[in-house]
Amino acid sequence: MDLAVILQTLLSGVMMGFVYALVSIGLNLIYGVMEIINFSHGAFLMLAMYIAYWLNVMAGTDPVLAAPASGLAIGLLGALTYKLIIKRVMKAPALAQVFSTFGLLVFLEALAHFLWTADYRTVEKTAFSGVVSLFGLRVGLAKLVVAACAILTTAVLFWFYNRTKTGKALQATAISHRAAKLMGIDTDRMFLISWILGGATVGMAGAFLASLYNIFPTIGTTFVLLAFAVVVLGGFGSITGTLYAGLIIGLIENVAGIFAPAFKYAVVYALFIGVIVFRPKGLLGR
Amino acid sequence: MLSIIDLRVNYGKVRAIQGASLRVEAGQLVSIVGSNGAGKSTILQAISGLVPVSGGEIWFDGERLDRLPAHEIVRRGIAHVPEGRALFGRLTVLENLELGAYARQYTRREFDRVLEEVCTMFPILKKRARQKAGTLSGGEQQMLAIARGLMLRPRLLMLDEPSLGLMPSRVSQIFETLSQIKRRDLTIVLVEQNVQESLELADYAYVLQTGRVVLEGPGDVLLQQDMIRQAYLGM
Ligand SMILES: Nc1ncnc2c1ncn2[C@@H]1O[C@H](COP(=O)(O)OP(=O)(O)OP(=O)(O)O)[C@@H](O)[C@H]1O
Ligand SMILES: [Mg+2]
Repeated sequence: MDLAVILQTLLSGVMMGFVYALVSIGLNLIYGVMEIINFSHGAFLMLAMYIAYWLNVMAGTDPVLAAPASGLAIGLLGALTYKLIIKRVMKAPALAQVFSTFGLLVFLEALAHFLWTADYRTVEKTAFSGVVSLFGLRVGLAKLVVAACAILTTAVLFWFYNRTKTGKALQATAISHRAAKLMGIDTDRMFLISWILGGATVGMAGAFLASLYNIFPTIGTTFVLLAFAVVVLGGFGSITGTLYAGLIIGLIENVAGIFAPAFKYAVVYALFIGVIVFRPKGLLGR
Repeated sequence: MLSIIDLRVNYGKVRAIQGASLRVEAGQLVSIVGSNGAGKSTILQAISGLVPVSGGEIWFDGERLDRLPAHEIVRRGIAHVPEGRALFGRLTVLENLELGAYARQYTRREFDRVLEEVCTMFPILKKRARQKAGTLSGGEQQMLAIARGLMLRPRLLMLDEPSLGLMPSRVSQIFETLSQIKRRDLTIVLVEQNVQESLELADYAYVLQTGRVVLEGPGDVLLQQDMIRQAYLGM
């Protein structure tokens, strides 16, 4: 196999890896801050893809440019989910929390099915098409733009999380709710912020993915499984781990894709199970 | 400054505080002593809003504190250095100190000045600024916990067993620090197992037994009492 193909595959893996990381980060952010798994995360992604799709149909907006709108909308959905559902089940048994967000997933998928049918939809009008050359490698422009936007979004999130006062307060809350309260941090507000950020990031990721995949009501399930693999591999509670793991999963998926395309997800999930068995806390988990 | 009137706190069926009244005047160091399980930590947690109060009132500068959420109480200028320190072990020393100032809207310059002030008291923290808090020694961690409390520029500083688990030389270092802090006119509530040292330092002290105040008075007076000498000083 020639070098160009290998490099091409690696580059493609890294590019998709950043998108997978962005898809997964919100899941882990919410888990890190309040130890609740948002099972409706995939439905959030699906809704974002539909938002990008319909904006494209109605206004001709390129999906990537729809990202601020879908980020805002899904961030708002995250806020509502926290205020109306999560807050009420926070003191309930863990199983009630699981079923509340799982129920939301089923509800949102059914709603999408009802509103938009099960038809596969494809974004038709894209602003970015064709192939460009990057370091002598040929890359689809659409994919390149998507990857660049995912990197930018992730960088902004990391800046916020690591450099701002509110970001530090989120980290403090993730470490200990009690200790955070003693610093004068309003933990309830931090929970809300984590849901807004969790929603906004997956909302933007959905818009980025909209031009690369067919869109249908259960599309989120495919990606959320991948997101779980990413979060488990990187370690629950570590968003840096999630970034690395996204890259690793993107690489594995693409490399496995050239040798055994039919098995590429089998390889990814074999790794997922391997990590659970041999290193349950993941690469950087606690 | 702080007055606690007939406080009651329950943990389910456990009645941890059964009607305790305490007062702290501005500028005083007030000690609370008592054996394990007497309810000392519970009183501090009730003041800082970490446990719900089931009866009585807590007043701070003419404002009622019970019913306020914990973060609002910190904003009133009450710093609580809890038992076990509650440091953010994965964050650096500097980040811990920044979080100590979270409730204050310091400008960059004010922050630097407060940090400088706190670090002159604990020079070791400056050296360790970029190190993860969890990697400090026990004594250093305790200093960081106190320093983090001081970053608030608190009007009331509450310390829960700052010498717990430290070797004797470190304990005297902590008490040296406390008397230093005391000289700065800060109001302090101190919970301690080292009854002798803490009563020597105290302007006023309360002895707690199974959730009730059984004895109170100026520190030096209590040190002379037979009950204290027998029960806590082993004389
Ligand atoms: N979270 C809790 N749940 C149930 N009971 C508790 C809880 N915290 C404290 N208690 C009980 O309340 C009583 C007072 O506890 P507290 O921690 O206030 O005592 P303390 O005087 O600080 O003791 P120590 O010197 O051991 O720190 C004890 O009987 C304890 O068992
Ligand atoms: Mg205690």
